[in-house]
Amino acid sequence: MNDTNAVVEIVNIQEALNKGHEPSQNYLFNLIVYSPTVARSHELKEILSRVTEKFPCRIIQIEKNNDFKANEIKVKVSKEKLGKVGREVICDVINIKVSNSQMDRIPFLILPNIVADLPVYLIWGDDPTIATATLNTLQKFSTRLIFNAAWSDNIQNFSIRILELLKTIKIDSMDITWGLLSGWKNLLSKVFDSEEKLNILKNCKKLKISYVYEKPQDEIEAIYLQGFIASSMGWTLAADELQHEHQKALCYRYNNKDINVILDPVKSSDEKSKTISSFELTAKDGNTINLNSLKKGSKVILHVSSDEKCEMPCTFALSDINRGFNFLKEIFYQSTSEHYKEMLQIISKVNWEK
Amino acid sequence: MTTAFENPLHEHGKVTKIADPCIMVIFGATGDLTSRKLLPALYNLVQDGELPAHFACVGFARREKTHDQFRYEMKEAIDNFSRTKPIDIEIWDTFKEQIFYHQSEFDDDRGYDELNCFLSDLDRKFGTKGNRLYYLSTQPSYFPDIIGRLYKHKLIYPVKEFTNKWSRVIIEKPFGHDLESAEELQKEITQYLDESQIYRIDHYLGKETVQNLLVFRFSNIIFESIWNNRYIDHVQITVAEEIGIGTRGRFFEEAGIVRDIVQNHMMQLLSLVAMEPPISMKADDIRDEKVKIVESIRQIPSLDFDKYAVRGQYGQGFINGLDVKGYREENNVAKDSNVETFVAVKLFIDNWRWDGVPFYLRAGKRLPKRATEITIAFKNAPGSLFCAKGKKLGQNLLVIRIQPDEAISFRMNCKVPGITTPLQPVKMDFKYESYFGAAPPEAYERLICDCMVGDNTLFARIDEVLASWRFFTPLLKKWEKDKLKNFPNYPSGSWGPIQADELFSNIECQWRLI
Repeated sequence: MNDTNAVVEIVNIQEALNKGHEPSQNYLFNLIVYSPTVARSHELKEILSRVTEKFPCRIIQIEKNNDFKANEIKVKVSKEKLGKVGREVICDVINIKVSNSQMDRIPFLILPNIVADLPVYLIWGDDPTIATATLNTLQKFSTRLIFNAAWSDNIQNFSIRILELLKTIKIDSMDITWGLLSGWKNLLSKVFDSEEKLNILKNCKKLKISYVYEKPQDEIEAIYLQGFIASSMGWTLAADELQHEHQKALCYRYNNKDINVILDPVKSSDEKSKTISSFELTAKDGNTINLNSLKKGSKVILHVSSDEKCEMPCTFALSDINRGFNFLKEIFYQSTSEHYKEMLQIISKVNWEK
Repeated sequence: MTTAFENPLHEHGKVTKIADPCIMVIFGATGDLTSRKLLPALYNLVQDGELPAHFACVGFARREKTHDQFRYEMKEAIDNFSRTKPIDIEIWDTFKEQIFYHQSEFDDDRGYDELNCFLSDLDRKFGTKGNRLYYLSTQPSYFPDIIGRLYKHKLIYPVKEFTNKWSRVIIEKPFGHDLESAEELQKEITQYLDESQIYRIDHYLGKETVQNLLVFRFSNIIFESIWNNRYIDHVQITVAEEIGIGTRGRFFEEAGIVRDIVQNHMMQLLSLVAMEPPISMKADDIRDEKVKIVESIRQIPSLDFDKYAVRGQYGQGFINGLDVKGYREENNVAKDSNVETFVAVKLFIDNWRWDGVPFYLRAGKRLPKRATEITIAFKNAPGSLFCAKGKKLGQNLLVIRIQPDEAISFRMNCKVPGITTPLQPVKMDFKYESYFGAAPPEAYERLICDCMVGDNTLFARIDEVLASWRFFTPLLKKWEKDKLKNFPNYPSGSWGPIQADELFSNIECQWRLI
């Protein structure tokens, strides 16, 4: 590291933090957020706002800025007051903008400013398949690593890398996409929470998951959802192929029978959310279970039918995972689940790019 | 609860309770509890995606009403009393189609026959599989009759005969009027119900802060290791309300504050504070430990009641500077009523952990403020290093505030800066709201959901209830016999009768000023 040439604009962080410090200020955790690009920073801000609207914490934002001069680094400290008047949540925000060449300096800026004895959550806004010294250093003092499959260019490589990481690191790791899918996972768990319904799933012949497609990352929730079902049910992958218009088809084997899974991108409409829009299951005996997303994805309607009968449709509220507390519970409090690992095992076997 | 079935889609380690499909029938559906608590709780459960999709709710009451009238009233109630506002019209529009009203007298067999047919129709329509949750929100005197008729009309399923569907009954407090009536009620209802089907609700147990008592005690070794008679001087539990009895005059004249608050809510708090660690978090393991505490409470010698228990009744006074009337001037209260609106009790738990530690319980109406708190007062530090001979340091106090402003604080002594060494008590404060935000789920949400899941951890078991009655019944009987001539004996807005202060045997101890 060459200090002499660094163009450093660092305020005295401790002094700035103590300025206007409220004696009763509470913190629940430290949140370190790394963003490799300005565009990702904007995306992360949305996530941060969900956290800061509810929970007092110290946020340390690291933004790599490729427009910065080679040795440039800027630090700004602020206090953000959010929430209703009289019930404001106060968060410290230490914003560090840094050029690529100064990344090595980052852990040294962060370490003295962590609130002691509280969890340290690290949201790594980059693709974890790209090895960096900063990630290696930061993860050593983190309580939890948070990635997002949607920030990775290659979902197969991502799953392989995360599986490797999970073997080596001793801390919990969470994938934001997996967390965001919890509404659907819980819903399916409820729908199939009886011998009768589970038998329909066990006898599945065809499963079609439709999702709203705007950009390639939009398919990841659908990939995860089918992987969750397949790994939970013990299906084994037999074949995969890309069909027309981004549609993907997979063939699983279960009890010596084939199960065809289709991931079907659909065009965006104002009425639907940018996630899973329907789940259509057809069993060998003609039973069908269809779940269709309604009202921007906050509700799902269930239709169950067979050759003989048709159950009354019923509506489920899909828990709003984007709400502050729900999001935080999923991302920060849930342990790395075996279901997640098993799902990664399945999807790591497929070349999703072809 | 579906047993012996493993759902492969259920993520292990994730505490997701899957409520079974069911129909909830609320008896006394036109009462305050339904509109203020039950329907808002159901609505919030729907909003959070916690209610089963295969669900319907039927209000059962005596007044004539259509389904639509009932729905309209319930929408108003949710608008007024839900913790989440405003009402989400799209969610309500779906939910209202699952709400129905059934008019009948509670003792009319035809009404139960019709209910049976109606519920069967709803089963077909909503796929609720015959599962039934009956919520008895009526006068307690109706409980045995309603349960008996439900059984007679095959609306209750004997546990041993039915494994594919369930029926559960939530019973509101009070469970009995004294030991004998509680035993009698238990005898009557267990003709028709197995103990596993009876959910005696105590909404205190559904409060987040009360549930946190177990977490606080048993996940923090620093407190548990000093949680005994070696370090604790005494324990105070206060349930104070600034409101009077309002429109509950008739109920209160029959009950009094011991039956309304102390015998149930306060004994639950006491047992959670004093219990030994359970061997697991399973319902019966926790309840086994709780009941041991209540059964270990030393019975007050009949000649010494006055030394251990003080009763009071509020007279006229001031709350927040405004005139308020006395208890005897309230509606539906006798002008010479002898009913207690305040009680303070000193009791001892005869076990190894608590030997010699007094527990002081007080509850009252028309006290200066609303507050439910548990105070653990620790013994003084030995020696006199920091104060003049014969003087004592301030006690360390651990205060667990149950409501409002849920919090845990710890008072300790600190040196005032300077060249001399005067001491000043200071407080470390943990406030739930500061960390986790406001508006936690209402107690009824958790409890209704638990009942649908079949988890009775947070409901009172019969042996707990009877043990509590066993302790309080002699006291209640004596008070009923010996009318107090000095009632009302405390003005509204005060901390109760002066005699309550005399319960403390140690002159340096007193009720904590809340």
